[in-house]
Amino acid sequence: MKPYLLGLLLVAGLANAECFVRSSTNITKSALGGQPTDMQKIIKSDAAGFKCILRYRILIDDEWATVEGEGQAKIEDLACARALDARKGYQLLEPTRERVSSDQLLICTDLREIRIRPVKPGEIIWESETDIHRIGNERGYFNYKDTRCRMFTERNARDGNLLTYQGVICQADSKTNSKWRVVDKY
Amino acid sequence: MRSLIVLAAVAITGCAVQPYQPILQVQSPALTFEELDHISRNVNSSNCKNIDANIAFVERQLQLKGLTNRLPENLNNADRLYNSTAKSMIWALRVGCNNPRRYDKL
Repeated sequence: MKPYLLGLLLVAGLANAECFVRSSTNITKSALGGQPTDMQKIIKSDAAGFKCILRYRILIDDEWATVEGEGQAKIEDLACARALDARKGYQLLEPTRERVSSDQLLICTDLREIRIRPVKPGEIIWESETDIHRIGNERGYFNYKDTRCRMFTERNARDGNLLTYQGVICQADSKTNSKWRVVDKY
Repeated sequence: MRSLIVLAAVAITGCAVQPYQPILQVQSPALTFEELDHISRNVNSSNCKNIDANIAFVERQLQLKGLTNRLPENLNNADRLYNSTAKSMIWALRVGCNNPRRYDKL
């Protein structure tokens, strides 16, 4: 009876957690674009110091990817700075049948999974919930009313047609790793 | 009346010899998509000195078409295209005029 109960509890726990397959290779520098954004962190401490597990989003080959890195140090900030080195981080991938194999690690945590989704003006979002602009010239950050902004594109299917909307998001406040506000979509 | 509006629009693009004269208060139908599209293709850095009036003019066109603050998901193809063209022009001015190195042409 106990194994069944344990199994049920495990399944219930996993149902609330987001699970990923951790890629077995490190990220190559040439594939990286831009700086990490949308950071979520877990700090653990013991007698040896701090362990920082940092999950963040970064552009890899022009697509948003979720990367997880770990760092250890006597000081929390240093541990997190080490965890932020994308080249030492591992990309977290959707657990498809092909990816789940015996030698790969399935990671499940309660950190919120961030993915591209349709947004509406006025919403407060993570930056990487919107795609980068599909036109290279429009990708850079720009200043608007003293805030850091960027354009995005959103692909949407309607009546069998693929539509592409554009829009603008701006940082909701000046803090590092702050969320973003959808300013316009058209 | 339509020719007056088109003249004002051409003035906005900086193509007209005449200095910009706001005639935005004139009650008139909105620019057609073709007229708006023509103007949008000619936006350049000379429009920055009258950026507020230029943006107000384009916003007025959206208002006349009943497209103010409309979500693109709720628009038919013609309105979505009109809205997108107008908004692209507004943001090209806002972004280009405040960030001069962002676009070569602005």
